[in-house]
Amino acid sequence: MNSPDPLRILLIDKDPERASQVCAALRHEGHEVIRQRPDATGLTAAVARDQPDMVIIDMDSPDRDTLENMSTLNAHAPRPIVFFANEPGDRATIHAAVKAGVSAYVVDGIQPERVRSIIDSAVAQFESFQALRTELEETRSALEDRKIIEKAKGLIMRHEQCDEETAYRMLRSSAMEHSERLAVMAERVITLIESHSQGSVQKAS
Amino acid sequence: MVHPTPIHRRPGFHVRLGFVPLLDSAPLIVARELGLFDAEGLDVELVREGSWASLRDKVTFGLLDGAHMLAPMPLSMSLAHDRPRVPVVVGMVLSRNGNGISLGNKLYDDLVRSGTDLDNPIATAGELLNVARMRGTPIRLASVAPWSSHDLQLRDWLASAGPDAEHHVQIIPVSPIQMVDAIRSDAIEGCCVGEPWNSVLEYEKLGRILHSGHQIWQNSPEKVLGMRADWTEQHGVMHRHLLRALLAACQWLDNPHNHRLLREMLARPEYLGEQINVLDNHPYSLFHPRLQQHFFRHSANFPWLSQAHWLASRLTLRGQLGPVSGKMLRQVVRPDLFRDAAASMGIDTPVVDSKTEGRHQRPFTLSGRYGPVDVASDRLLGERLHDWLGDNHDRAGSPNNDAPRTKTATKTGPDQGN
Repeated sequence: MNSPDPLRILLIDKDPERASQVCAALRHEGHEVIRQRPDATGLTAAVARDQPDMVIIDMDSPDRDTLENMSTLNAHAPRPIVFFANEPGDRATIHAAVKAGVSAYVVDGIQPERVRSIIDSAVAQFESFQALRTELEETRSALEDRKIIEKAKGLIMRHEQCDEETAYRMLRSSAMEHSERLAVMAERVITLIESHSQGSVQKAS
Repeated sequence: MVHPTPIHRRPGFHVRLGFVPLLDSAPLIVARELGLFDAEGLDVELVREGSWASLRDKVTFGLLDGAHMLAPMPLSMSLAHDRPRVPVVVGMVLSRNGNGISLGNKLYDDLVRSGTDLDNPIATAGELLNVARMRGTPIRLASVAPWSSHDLQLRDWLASAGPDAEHHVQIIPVSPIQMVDAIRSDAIEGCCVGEPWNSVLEYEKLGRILHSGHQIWQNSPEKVLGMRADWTEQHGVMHRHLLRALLAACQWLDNPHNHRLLREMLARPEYLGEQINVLDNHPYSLFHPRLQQHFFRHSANFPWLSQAHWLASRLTLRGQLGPVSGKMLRQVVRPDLFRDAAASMGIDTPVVDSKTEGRHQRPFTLSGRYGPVDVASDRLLGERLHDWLGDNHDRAGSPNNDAPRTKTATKTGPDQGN
């Protein structure tokens, strides 16, 4: 990966943590990375000043509309990578990039293999970051779910005067009947029983 | 007309549609919220995109089956000459008008002081160049994507002032979402953008609407439904269902009684969210009367080949497309598919696929299959006329086997009015 002449890459990512990862990976490969979070017009100026060989930007950034148009203003401005999707190998790379949320702009005349390897490592960083985040979210929601299910079970046990296993079975079969997630059904049971007992309290008073 | 949203999600045919959060993405949002997609057996997943570029890339790589698109976008994707083509099919227009050319306060005041007739776009374009000449630096205006009607309308407007307009005005690309900030920071002095951004500019007292897109190209198609051509080929029946659901949504949208509910739908965070809430106390709050945005009336949804050709000719003029033949155009824009879907709902459509653009100063009527059909006026800035010759050239090879053309569509002669 020790290329003789490093490429100059402008990196724009609203997520600073992810940007650091991508930046480290690309620098490790010997490239020069400029990190920036400019506004739309600042971006035009930044590209003109720094003359990057390549721009890596997160897919959802509104700055992309600015980058798109730059090539209509200036023939040397980087062009969207999707415009280079001719070879099947490139298509696979770009497909992975679009899926991972990485978009890239490249100036003409850079070797395709070099572009591909840069995109590959950016995609790898984006994907591992996403995997980590999804995992965290899943763990969090799994914990939430368990709390709700436990609470619903307890309420059913009291309400139906049954043991824990029966309560769980009742919850599970009604979830299946309504084709709902267990946690969703549990939440419904909680609302139902709580509003019911509140009603009876009001009636009693 | 209103189908209740089913509580349980029924299994339907899964379709992924992208949209950019703008007021004119309403047909997709409404069709989903009113259960119109469900009623057609479709399970539509709406995917919000932050930029037109990202929407294009996802359609290109099949991560979206189709999307709410800028009218020139399917032409630019399908007929590109300098990059791989992505064939897209347009079965209907989703909205007409809605763009504004807005200027920051300073530039607007300059025009007011000059005494120019602010209602006359050719006069204002000329005066704008005067301002630039006097101060000796170009005026900085912004548009969105190059393959947008905003960009093309802005350039047509400036070009009406003469051939040297380009030397006095610099057009900078800015995403709609960043437009207000760009004006606030004085990075740009004006822009051509869709709603709600013109209203936001006025509401925040940062600028004023000088012209509506309607004054440049009357009732031109603004957003269309663009689907991947391979998707429509494989799922012709589902495409028809999609057109039907969206047509019902557009009809609903044109009824002002529904706008309060529309407001609530759009304000949900997964759609426009905060963007629209900015306008909470705005007198117009949703549709700015000057912009004449509409979704259904006067055959708004009919995908005219002549209008597609007009857009293609503007793209060619700006160096974004090579020459476009009638045959190429017919692969992208499909009035036949629209006619079929509309007929199944009892909605009549013109029997011709093209008309002379620019001829009609007022709404007029054309022959439909079952009787007269209302069609919107189509004046073009500078009283320009645009005839689509391609239709005559390759009529023999075209799939157009509709009834004979009516007199209004192709013949020259005074037929406006009515």
